[in-house]
Amino acid sequence: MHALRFFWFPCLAILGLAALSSSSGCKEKTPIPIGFIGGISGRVADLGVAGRNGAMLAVEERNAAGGINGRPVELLVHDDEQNPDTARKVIDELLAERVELIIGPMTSSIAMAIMPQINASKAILLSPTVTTNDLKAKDDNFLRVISTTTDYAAKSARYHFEKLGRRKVAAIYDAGNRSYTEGWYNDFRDTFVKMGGKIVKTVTFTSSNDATFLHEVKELLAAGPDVVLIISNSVDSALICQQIRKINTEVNIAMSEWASTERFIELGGKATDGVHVSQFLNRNDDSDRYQKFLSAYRKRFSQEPGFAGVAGYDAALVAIDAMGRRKPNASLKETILQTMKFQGVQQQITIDRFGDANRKTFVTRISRGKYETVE
Amino acid sequence: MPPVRPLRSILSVQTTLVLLIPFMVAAVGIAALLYPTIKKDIELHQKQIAITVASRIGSYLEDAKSTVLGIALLKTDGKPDWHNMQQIVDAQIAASESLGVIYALDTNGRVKAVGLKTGTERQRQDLLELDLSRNPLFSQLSGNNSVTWSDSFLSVVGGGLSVALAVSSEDKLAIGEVQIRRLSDFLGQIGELGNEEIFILDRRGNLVADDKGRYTAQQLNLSNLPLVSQGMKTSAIHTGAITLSGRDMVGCYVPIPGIGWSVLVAQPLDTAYRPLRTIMGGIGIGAIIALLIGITLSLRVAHKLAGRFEQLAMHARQITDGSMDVQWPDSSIAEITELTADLQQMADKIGEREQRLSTLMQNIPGMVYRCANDRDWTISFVSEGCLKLTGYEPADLIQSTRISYNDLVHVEDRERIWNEVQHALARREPFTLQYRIVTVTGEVKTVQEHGQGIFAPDGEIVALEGVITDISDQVRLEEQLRHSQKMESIGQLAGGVAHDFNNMLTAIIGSAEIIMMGLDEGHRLLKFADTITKAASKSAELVRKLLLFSRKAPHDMLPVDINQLLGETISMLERSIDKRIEIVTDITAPDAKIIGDAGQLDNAFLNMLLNARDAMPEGGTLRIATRHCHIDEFFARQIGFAVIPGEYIEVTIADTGTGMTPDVLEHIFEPFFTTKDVGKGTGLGLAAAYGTFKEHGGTIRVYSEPEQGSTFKVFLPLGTTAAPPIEAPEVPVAIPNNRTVLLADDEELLRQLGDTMLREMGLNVILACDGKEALEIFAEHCQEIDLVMLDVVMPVVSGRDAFRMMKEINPNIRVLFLSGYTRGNSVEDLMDDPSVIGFVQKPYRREDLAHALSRAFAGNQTES
Repeated sequence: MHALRFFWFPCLAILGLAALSSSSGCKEKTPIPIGFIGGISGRVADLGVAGRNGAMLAVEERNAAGGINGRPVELLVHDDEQNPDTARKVIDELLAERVELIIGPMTSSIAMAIMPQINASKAILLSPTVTTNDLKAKDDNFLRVISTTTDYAAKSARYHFEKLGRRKVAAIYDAGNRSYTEGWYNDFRDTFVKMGGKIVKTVTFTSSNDATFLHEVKELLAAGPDVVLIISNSVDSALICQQIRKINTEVNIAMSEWASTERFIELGGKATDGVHVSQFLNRNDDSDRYQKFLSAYRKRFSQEPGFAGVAGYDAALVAIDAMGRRKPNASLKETILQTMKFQGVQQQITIDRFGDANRKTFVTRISRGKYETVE
Repeated sequence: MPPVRPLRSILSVQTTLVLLIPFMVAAVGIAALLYPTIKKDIELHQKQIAITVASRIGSYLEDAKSTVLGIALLKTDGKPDWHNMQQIVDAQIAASESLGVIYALDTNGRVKAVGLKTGTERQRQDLLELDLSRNPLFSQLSGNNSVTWSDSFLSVVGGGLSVALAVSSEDKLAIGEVQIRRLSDFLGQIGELGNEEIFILDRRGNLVADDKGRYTAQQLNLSNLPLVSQGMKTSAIHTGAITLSGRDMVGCYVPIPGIGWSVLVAQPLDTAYRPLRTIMGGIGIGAIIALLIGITLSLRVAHKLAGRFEQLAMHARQITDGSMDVQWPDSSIAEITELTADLQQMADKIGEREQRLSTLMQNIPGMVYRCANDRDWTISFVSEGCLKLTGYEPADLIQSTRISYNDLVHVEDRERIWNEVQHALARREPFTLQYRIVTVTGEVKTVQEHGQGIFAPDGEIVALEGVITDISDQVRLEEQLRHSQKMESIGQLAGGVAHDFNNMLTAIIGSAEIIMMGLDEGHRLLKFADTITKAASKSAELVRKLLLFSRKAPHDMLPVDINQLLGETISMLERSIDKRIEIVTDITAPDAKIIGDAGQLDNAFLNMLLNARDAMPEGGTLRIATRHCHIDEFFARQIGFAVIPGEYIEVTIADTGTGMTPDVLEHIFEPFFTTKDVGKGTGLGLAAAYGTFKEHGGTIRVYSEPEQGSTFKVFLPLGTTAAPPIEAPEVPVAIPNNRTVLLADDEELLRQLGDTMLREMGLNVILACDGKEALEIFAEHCQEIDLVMLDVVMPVVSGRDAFRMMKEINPNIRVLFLSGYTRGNSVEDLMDDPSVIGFVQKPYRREDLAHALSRAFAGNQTES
């Protein structure tokens, strides 16, 4: 120590040289990591890609405005490939990176697969689009910015029964995302049957790259339904619609909000005209906030955001807002639950003490290749 | 003043700089030379890869394009045979490497034939009759023979990322889906050749393929990268920096013609510039090693040098602490040897100066000081003289360790000297103070202080410096001198008065005696004349005491034993003293012989004893003691001016009476000063005693405290060497008649009285009113004049002068001096002259005069 007093300058010089020769120097400020998990590759990646893009846009905008307390935010994007095993692996990686909050996943089946890991950690999962009832009203580490399937399914059932006078429904759903699809189906069925309607046929399938639907569609139509209810992703839904229209141009088609993307219309062609889709995105919204978001999203990604883009963006807004307002020694979960109300792109999102959100739902009808809000 | 730093620190910094600078210059030079070259190489290399990839992809897509074009342009004359078409697309898909699916559509956008790769045929039933009219490709086709590329999308067949190519003819539409996955495989092969990363971007900027396959399926949009957006805008080659997934990279953008896609070749900066970094790292490591060696060496040198300097400093400190006998260390370094010699020289000079200063300090009477200007006068330096002056060691006073200097100052003087010092400091003048201090033994000393303020350049007072000397002796001597001078002047005054009184008394007594002689016995006036004579005689006694005080009384100096004299005086006193007064005597001085006038001494002691008695009206103890005493010069100065060092007898008379206050003490020896009631004392007793002891070459001291009593100490010089007394013939001789006497006296009354007395004695008298007239008469009648009677003190020509001149006229002249003063004070020196035959002390009685004349004429007869 005595020698160091006299040789501080050479010591500093050596340390400086050592630092220079060993690394390229240190970063300005350590970024705050936020995880993202979603299916961004594969056949139905449109949901995951849009969700990621929405979250990415929110993060980029926040960083351009100076970050959180001067620290930039880094979005660590991981692909679950819509595969539960991959998703669990990805969560392990994210937890290893000590992220406190993960945005995602985009589908209920993946959420159910990874929740044990999340609950065992200190991290929280903030999902843009998971609507399953299986995670409803639970004091766990799962939070979301979207309502449960009950809201959408019940609303859709009532609409078809009351407004459109439908009484017989034949349903087809993807058993690969059972947590969501089956919940949705059950909620629809319960409401519809309760009102006096009838489920005349139910067919399930498992989505895959080489899935075919002609056979299943024939089975459904053979039951003579007023309405065919499709609960699956956009690509599968589009192909199912096309198969229905090959056989029957009259029967009504209803879909869950999962498929309500732009890709559905592109691929579904004219077969999509007249299809009723439930969703929380009000596509006729001309508010400044939404239009501004739309414009920024299009500019950044040269695509339409769809509901997943908006949900991803909203989830990221909630995450960033909570991180910014968090008090010392308070957890993110506490902060979000105490804050309760967050401003989303289209509406205020209210998150209850279980982390479930209350969000308005809309019924849309596709007309000439465009979604039109009818209720 | 620059900041002071240790030698080691300076040497280490400078060594580091000396070692570091060449490395830094080399590093900057190498970087400046190498960086542009490496950058250019990187750009060139990336561009080559990008162009190669672009060209390869171009041909890959061209292959697909020609297949789709061939199907679309197949001549069917407006009526396509879809069955035949199915066979054609099946054949084409099997032959094509790049295409994954081929659709043949009617003009409404409905799929009529689907070519599928082996393994996916079961999807055909779903795909046939699909309505693709809402597919953007359909709307983009502008007419016959037009070719258009789609955005990338996820194929419903196999789910892989694909791009579709659509070609229209008049009766049908052909769409081929190119499998992008195959591009990634191809890029992987190229990417393995180097460490570059290769990306294929679609026309929206979406990443559709990369050599590592990392982003291929994720449709990551890179249009936000400046390099990409610039390239997309201009469709030209661009190079520059990009940041991808948090990594800083350098990249090259090359567009792929026809499809609107592009190739992006990028390399992380650290990989790209690794050669430069390696070189710089090498330089850095070299610099570190050089620094380590350099520091070790400089540490040694610095340690050695600093050690030497510290040794020198330590020796210098020893000198500072007062040790002059310092052995300087040897050194082989010329500068240090020189420095050592200079330091030694400096030490010698300092020692010399210190010695001089120390001697000077010791020689300065009193104490030299330096103190703060505070109420304590807190001392920071004080010389050794402090001990002698105050009784305190210097260390006791420095920083007021034991006592503050202010506490030494007499409490009555503190405020005054504070004010005087502050006043002087305010005017920036030196100050001289006189005040009292109380020493460690409680002794009060009078000191004089010369001092001045020491001021900082900004005018603030830093300290006070000066010297304080003991002037107690000087003050005491001045006081004694003043007192002595006062007593002297009172004596002269008293003497003058006594002289005049004596003249008057001579006339009174003489006249009264003449009257008495003229009166018959039993005459009634005889009693009054006798009263006059007695009253005048009493007055003459008073005058004699006055003269004693002024030491102008006549005395007979003979050996006297003081022990004996005191014994007689005491025994005389014992008879009249109150029995309540105990007399304690210790008259045991081994040698008590002095030369003195026993009568005067007896009177003096008696007066003192009576005073002591009177001081004890309620009784007490009277102590009388004698002892031998040696008075040295110092003691002589202490007790008075007139005392000559030598052997003395000390007589102590102490009472336990009322004592005296200092005010009374100051005046007790003054004539007519008395504390007794009017009529009880003349105020001449002690004055006469004072004069008597002075006259005897001694002195008197008194110590007294009110209610405690008084102690008088008389010091008289021992000795027996006085000339034995001349035994005057006491035989009265008849005064011869008809002798002529010249009587000179300036007092008319005395002239007349003398004339009467002398004539009555049968003498002829010539009168002269002063010396001058006497001289003239003598000159004229010197032969007739038998005796000249001269008053000593006369105007114009004094008796003494007249005598000398007369003697010149007639050397055989015979003179009798008359004076109101004593002989010793006026004509003692002339008494040995044979012409001087006697001295008559005024006032004289006729008897005295007759006695003197008879002796004068007796001598005359003897001679004649």
